[in-house]
Amino acid sequence: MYLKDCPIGAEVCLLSSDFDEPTCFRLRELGLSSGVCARIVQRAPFGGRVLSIAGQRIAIDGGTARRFAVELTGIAAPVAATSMAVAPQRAAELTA
Amino acid sequence: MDRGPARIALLGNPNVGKSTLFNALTGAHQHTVNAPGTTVHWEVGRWRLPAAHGTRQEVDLVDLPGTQSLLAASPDEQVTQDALVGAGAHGAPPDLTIVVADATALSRSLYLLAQAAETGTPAIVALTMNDVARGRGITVDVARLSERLGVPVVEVDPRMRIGLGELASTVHRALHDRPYLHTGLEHVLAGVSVTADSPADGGIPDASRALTDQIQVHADDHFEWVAGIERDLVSHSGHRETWSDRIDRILLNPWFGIPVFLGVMWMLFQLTTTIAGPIQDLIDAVVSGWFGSVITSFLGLFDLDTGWLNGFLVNGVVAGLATVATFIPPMGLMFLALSMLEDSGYMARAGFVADRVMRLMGLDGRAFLPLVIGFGCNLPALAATRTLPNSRQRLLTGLLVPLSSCTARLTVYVVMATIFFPHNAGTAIFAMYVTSVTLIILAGLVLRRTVFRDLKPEPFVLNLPAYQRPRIKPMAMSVLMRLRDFVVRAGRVIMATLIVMWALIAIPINGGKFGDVPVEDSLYGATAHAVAPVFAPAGFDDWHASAALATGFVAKEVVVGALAQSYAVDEPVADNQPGLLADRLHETFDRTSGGHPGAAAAAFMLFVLAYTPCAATVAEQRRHFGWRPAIAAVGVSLVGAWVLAVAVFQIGSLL
Repeated sequence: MYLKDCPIGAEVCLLSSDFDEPTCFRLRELGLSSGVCARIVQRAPFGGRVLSIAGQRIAIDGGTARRFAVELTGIAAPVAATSMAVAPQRAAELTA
Repeated sequence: MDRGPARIALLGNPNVGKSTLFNALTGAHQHTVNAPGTTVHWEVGRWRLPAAHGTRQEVDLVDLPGTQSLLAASPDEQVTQDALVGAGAHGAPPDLTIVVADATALSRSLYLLAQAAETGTPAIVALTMNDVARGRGITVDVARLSERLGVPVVEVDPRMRIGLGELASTVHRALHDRPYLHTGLEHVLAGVSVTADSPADGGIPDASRALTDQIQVHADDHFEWVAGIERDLVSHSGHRETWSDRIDRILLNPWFGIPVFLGVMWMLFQLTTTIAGPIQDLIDAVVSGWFGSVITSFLGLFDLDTGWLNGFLVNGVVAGLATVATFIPPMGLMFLALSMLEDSGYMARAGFVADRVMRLMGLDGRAFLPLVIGFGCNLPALAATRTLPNSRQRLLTGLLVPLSSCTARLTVYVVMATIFFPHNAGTAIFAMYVTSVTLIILAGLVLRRTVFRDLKPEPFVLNLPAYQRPRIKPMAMSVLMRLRDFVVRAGRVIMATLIVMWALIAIPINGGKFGDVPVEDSLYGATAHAVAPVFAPAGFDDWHASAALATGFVAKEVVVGALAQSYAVDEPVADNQPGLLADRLHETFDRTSGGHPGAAAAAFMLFVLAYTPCAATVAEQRRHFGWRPAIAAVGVSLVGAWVLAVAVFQIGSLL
């Protein structure tokens, strides 16, 4: 699945993107490289997403989110809660 | 040999609080300079450090453009890289670099720091955003970080002025101790001349190329080193929802985000028009009216109140002062609003929300803001281009801003539309705004495919700062600094232009006294006569029209007045009651257009929309981008406006 498909609360690991090498390198410099785990904290207009990575809030435009393949590792409990509880069934549904 | 004050560079990623720290350390003792050979700006300020026996040591602090990496991907990042290695015209590397690191995004800061270590200049670290990091459950072991890096690490909060004294003492010691960052990977630029560069590769100096090569070779090592430090010294307590996250649920919401953004833009527009307008009128009345009459009365004591000296002082110098002074309210309000948006953290979100639209022109989402503000007044809009992170994007936006139809142009549309399209005046005026937006998009697309081909769409990836309450004192200081810079730098050009305009009107051509000549008989009038035939294909080959357009080059607000003056009729009391002026204009346009006055009026309105907005805009473009782009913009806009006017008249006259 792609980052653009992830709902708020989804916990994902970045797998790959189809950008050219210099862009991939710049994304890596910005903290977005394969293996990095993130949590979706906001959905934004035009398919944008805000990720929480090690406490940082990183905004990504919809076009970029469409090109990032991710692996869904879990779905956290609803927004207002602060727990890291995961809904495995929901995660399995989305992954499928 | 005395080298003067030590030079200290502030280096950091965008949005880490670097400029806030710079303002807190230097206060009012700062000025903007152009990086050598570029349109990239940086700030230089004088900072007084505590020295021995209660004395003070003065140093020059340089606020370098924020950069994600020392592998430069934009002119701004290249300037930062060049400055750090002392490449090209920079002369020498800084005596000390303060790496401003963000505790909430430590990995990105550490990565930049690892690259900075390769420059081999002494450095210390200022750690910002510590309170926000704690709020997000991030803990940094500062003492061990300092130990691992081999340089002092000072926690600071420039907004609250916390830790600034300790930073000053640390810098003072570091200037003597010269601490070097220790990453275990650094390879000092041995053998590379950093002062005698000859640009060899696309203008990039040798020292910068050497640094780039070195960093590229060690890139993987840098990433590993950062990961190691983060693993050992930074702890995260898992995801915590913060106040900023909650606010973002509304401000970045797919449904509410855009209306909120448009609301903020609308408020900015109101600030520069509805709120600034009455203050501008008052200032104009005081400076042009009252102060001008005081000067005339004073000269009257010596029987000089009717001569050229009075004209020069009142219509040249005082008019110039009044023009500069009347721009202070909208500029001040705009600077204040920009400071609030930046300081609060919303500016980054605004760029995110508008990104999709501006991406069509290869621009960052933040470019939307100056283009909207331009519909109020182009001057603060040009000032707002500085919020863009890339100098090429700033330049492109700065060239598009004059196509935003400012309120001064509205006065011309209203009079012309009322006279020539009395039953569809509203529609005609609305069409001008639609045309303005269309021109911005078309010009943006054309420029992007020609002189701005290098502006390729890049992924929008931005570290969102936490929302914070703007601090009044630093904000007021920042507004005053920017206003001072505007008045001093743009004010000179505005004054000079207005004095030249006065001189042209004062010089008689067909006899008469200098400074006391009818407009038609002045050098200005003669020039208008000479220029008028150029507008024959556009349907308004008449000196009254060309003289008004020439006056409009100084300010669009005076076009209607200049038309009235040239016909020797009273200026309309209200824009929609043109009276005698209507009759004269109708007669003129009827004659010059061969019976198609409507088409000629539309062409005239379009010319007013598309040609140079005012002398102050040119001055502000020069201030931001230099003379060449400013002059090129004037030339292109005159030619473009003429082509559009001719096309509209020629097509319109066939209908």
